[in-house]
Amino acid sequence: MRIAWFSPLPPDRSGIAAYSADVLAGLRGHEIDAFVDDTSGQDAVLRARPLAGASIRGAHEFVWRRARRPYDVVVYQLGNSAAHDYLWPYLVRYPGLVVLHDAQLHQSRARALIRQFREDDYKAEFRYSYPGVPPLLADLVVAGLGATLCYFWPMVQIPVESARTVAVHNAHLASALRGRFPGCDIVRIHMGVPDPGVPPGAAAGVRRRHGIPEDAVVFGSFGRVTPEKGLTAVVRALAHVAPSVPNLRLLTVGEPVEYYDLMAQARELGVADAVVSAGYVGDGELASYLAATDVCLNLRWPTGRETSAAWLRCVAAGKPTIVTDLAHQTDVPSLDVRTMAAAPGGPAGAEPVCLHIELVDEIPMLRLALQRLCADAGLRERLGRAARRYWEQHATVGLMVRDYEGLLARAAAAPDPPRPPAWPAHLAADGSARARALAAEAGVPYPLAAGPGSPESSGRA
Amino acid sequence: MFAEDDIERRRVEREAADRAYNEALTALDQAFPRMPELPHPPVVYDESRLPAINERWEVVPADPAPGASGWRRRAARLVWGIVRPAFERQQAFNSALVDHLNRNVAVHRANREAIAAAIETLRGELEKLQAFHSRLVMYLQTITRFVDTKDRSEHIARLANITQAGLSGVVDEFRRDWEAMTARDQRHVAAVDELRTSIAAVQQTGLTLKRELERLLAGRPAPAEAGAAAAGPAQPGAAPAGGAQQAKAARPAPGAGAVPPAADAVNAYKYVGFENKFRGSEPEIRARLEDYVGLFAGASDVLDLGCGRGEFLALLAERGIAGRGLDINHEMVELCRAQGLEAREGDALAYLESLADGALGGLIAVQVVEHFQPAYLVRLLDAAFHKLRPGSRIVLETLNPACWFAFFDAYIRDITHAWPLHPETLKYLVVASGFQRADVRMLSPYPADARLQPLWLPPGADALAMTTMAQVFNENMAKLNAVMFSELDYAVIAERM
Repeated sequence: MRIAWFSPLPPDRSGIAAYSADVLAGLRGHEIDAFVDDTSGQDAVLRARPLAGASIRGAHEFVWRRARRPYDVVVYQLGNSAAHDYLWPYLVRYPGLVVLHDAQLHQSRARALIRQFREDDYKAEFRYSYPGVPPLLADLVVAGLGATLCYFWPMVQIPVESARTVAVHNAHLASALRGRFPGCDIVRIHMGVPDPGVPPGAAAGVRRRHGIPEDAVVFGSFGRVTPEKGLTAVVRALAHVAPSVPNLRLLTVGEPVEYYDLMAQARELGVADAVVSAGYVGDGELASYLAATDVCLNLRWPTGRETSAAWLRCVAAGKPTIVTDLAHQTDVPSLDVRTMAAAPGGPAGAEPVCLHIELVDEIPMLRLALQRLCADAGLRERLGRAARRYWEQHATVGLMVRDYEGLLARAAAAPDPPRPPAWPAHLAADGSARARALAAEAGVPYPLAAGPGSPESSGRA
Repeated sequence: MFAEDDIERRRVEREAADRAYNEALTALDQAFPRMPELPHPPVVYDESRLPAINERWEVVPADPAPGASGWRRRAARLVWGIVRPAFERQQAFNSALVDHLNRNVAVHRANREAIAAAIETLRGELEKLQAFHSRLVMYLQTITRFVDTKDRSEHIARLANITQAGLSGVVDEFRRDWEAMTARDQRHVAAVDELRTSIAAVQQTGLTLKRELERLLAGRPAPAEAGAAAAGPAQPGAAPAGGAQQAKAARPAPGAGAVPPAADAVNAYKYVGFENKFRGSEPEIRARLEDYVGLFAGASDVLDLGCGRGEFLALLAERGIAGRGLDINHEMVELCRAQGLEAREGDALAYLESLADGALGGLIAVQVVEHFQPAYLVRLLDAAFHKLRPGSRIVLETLNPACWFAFFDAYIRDITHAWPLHPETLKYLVVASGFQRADVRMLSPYPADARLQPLWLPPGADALAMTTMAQVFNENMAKLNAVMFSELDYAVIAERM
């Protein structure tokens, strides 16, 4: 199968870049052109790390390559960050398989359009997606006041309607999208991560490097140290339990950010000695840090209903995890730390693989979780074993690639969806608006016939 | 919230104020005169001749004939004596003039310096005034920016931050609660599902015990023995001892109702005619039944109890769902068979009891259960529970006797109807028989234009009494409509867990 693949790729540090690299490596039997963002020039193409299974190209090459030799299917890896802005013009014009990593695209789409001074286009998309909502809300976002409000209006309609098939990674999201877009083909696929392959003896080295005692119980948080990781609540809970569990350590592995000072909070609460910041760690060293960790913290808020690859990596490493109790994760077998019983939601009889923390009961539940996991090595071991089994059954790269094989065939065979007549005009523009304007300014008749879009439209999506 | 026209008014006012301000500023800028051409100070007083004048003003010599002697001297003295007064007057004039000129040199000098200084002062002051004017215009030009930036950078920015922080806080708090509640709800749903499964198992056990007890008491064969006969023809004689109606129902009788009580009174072929006349034509019935087909998607072994002319069986067949019909009316069964549909003739309860447990993947009985006596219906529902597989559905559609029109116009029209069933009664019986997720779906709403119509007051008749009267009248109409002309049918739909 000849496949066009739009996605950020390594060395981009986003989770989707790593995800794409894993999937592409498994799809080596196909002829794949991976198109990266070359909006700012060829540097991005030259910088992209060579991939097994795909040729890396700039997105601007897609149109002529496709014209020369059509692709069987075009794949768009879509998320809620600026790294995916470049996909949109292709996504709405060349229907394919849209892999929706976030159920929330409002922030990135609004930012992208507003940055280009296309407030009217943004407002048109908002009005189209939410005809029953007062359009002034879009003005609020344009005025910079709507960041959190965006969560109520995720703006996924246009990508979903554009797609032949939409794939998501959790059942909750699939069900929600099917309910909202009954005519669209929504498929749930597994998300997989590679086996981290923990090197023997690595744990001790990491602990020595950071002065962590051998008998300490280490709770690790991986990824950039931001408020979204729920670490403020962890530090507060830690302050409560520290006197009773002096051997507890909180290890943060990831780049710190300027606007969030976790250590200052720890100092303020008198637990700075129990917090260790490792800073940014390269991919090669991650496994060692995972090995040095007894329990992984995978708290996330707010959520875009994404399935966390970071959490799956911890699960694959056979680590017990503490996760936020989010609606799309209730089907993961988990333990209710208040009752120490398996929480309803997971498959009947499945062993719990994690502890969940309710958002409205965060600190008390975290206190209990820290205490119980510190005190009970057997519990840690049971959860870890179950986690590894969960990964083997639900989250390997092999499973994900197998799903992709079926999904690609399905999308290749599917017809292009009809373009909704009420779509905002700029999505259907033929791209000739600027040429027309220049020709008109020069008093020269525009030589080409009018395209399907309105002449006034910008020709950009 | 500002109205759009209010916002527009504010914009127009703001633009007018901007215009007026700019015009006033331009007028001010133009009003001040440019720097005038100032006069030069007077030229310097010409003193060049003064030394000569000062040297030559004396015209009366001390010796009128210096160097002369003799007569010459005397002659000179004589002449001098004559002209001397004139010379002396001249000298006095010269002296006064020279003195005057000498005295005015200083004044001239002072005047010139004063004028030059005055001009310089005037120039300086005019320059200062011009600078002041220029600064005044600059000042006025900066006022707009000053006011704008003051508002924007401080007040508005602070206000924006406060609004943003407030909004974010409220939204985040709300979303946290919402997310937590959604997650809890999902876990509760899962817990309720587990509970349902457990309850279903308990119900199954209870009902099985009940049935076995009844068998023991009645001395009848165990279900395994009866199951052996499942594939065979229905056993009309195996009707339950459920009272007089059930005893009669053991014999074929007409009707979509499968077990009409007065079989002897209405011959089978006559009921076919009755159906055609009162229940609707086959296409009409098919259209009505379409909605039920989806409830059996993916099922097999669906039994249509009281299959009548086979409309529903045909719909199932079109969707590839395996089904069969049962009717007590021979003519109906023949009509089905003529269409290639699988149908049997027999009594409903007897047929169900002859099946092995779990033999059915769905059961539908449309306009049937009102033909049964209550005791018979209860037994039928019990049997249906045992014969349906877990996860399958039961659908029972019947006339809605809670609707006056349905009862008096439709229910009593059919002489084979045995017992009117209130929607809540039937739902209760279904749940009591072990089914879950029971739901009453109201059907066939009485046409709106045929209902009692409300009273509309003519324009202008807005007197309080009239309005009140009309309101009371209309409320009464609504109440009557709700009782008399609501939905004519309903269906109880439930699941066997």
